Amino acid sequence: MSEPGTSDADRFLALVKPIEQDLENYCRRLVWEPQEAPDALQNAVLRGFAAFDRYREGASFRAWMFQIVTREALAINRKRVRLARHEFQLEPEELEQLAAGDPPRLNGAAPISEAELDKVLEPALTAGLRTLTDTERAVLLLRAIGELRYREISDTLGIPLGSVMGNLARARQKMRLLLGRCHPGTKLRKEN
Amino acid sequence: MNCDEIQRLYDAWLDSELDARTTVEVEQHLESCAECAREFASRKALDTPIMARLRQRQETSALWRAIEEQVLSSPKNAPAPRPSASRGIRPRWASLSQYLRTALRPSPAAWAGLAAVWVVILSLHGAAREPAAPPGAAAPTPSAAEMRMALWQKRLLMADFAESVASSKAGEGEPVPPGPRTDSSAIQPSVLERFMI
Repeated sequence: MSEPGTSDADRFLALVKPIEQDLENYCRRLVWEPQEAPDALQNAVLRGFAAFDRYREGASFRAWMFQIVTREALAINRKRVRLARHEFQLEPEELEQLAAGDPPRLNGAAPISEAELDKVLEPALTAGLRTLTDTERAVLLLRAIGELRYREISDTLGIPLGSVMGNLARARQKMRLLLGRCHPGTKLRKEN
Repeated sequence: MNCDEIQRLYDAWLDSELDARTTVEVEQHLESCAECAREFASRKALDTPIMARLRQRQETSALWRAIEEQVLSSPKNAPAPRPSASRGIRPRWASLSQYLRTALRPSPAAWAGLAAVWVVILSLHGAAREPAAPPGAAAPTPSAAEMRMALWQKRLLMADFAESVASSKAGEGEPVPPGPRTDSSAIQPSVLERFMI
């Protein structure tokens, strides 16, 4: 129930406020071109407000808003997809590994210090995200930034639960590959 | 579960998405299988910082102030126009339709009342119309005066016609164009008396 004297805009903004940072972070990571994130975010929030009548109180507002941002960002990506999808290429042998669906195994617990990891992490993440498909990237980011459960991700993206798990596994695998590539100390080996 | 099955559950295990029974099974397997334990630990050593870095919050940008202003100035957030402020036909119709929408949409009773008003209007309209004669019903018999008047009108027309034929024969044979009657062709009262019954 809304408090008397409180407009829809006030109620909407009160719900958005706690998740502003996460929505912005998610949007910046999800769009191919970082400079398009502000437009995507702005459009998504205004769309959310326009559709606020249809938001059911008691449902997860966080998941609802992440769904709207996802649609907006992916719509923008579709316009740009040919430009950026393969800017960062994997080596042929690594691509073969991914295509074969054979999970490469790390050679034990790689002793990577936090300082080393931090140094290579951001470039590896930026590069790694570019190797993911739209769905893989959305699933990974909805889990990491949105902190949504698998079931919520399934509802948000309109894909089966099994697809969520498959896309998440492939996304993490690619990210680990990229991180291993950027950090020579982390070697990959194939399972017997 | 064998090692392959356990490996497939890695992501769900990392995200705490497994049910309690499966979680226990995975944990027991990891305790007994050094290879799988090492593999899980290796992946987790990379996945945890990746997810943490992705999740890392940044300072909220000034963009949000612009977005909030846009939401507040959105047409949807504009207050409904007061009836006194509406001038002209269009705003009045707009306010009327808005009033009807808000008044009727949520109220079945209002719809029922509107339907009842229409029923009354239609029934009054039907009652006001002259009832048509049923098929096969006999036509009302005219009174004697009415019959005399009709007969007199017929005779008058026949006399007028006979007179016009006679005058055309008396002329040069040219057809007389229709025109206003002259005083001589006008029917005299004495003639009228002869035709009266």
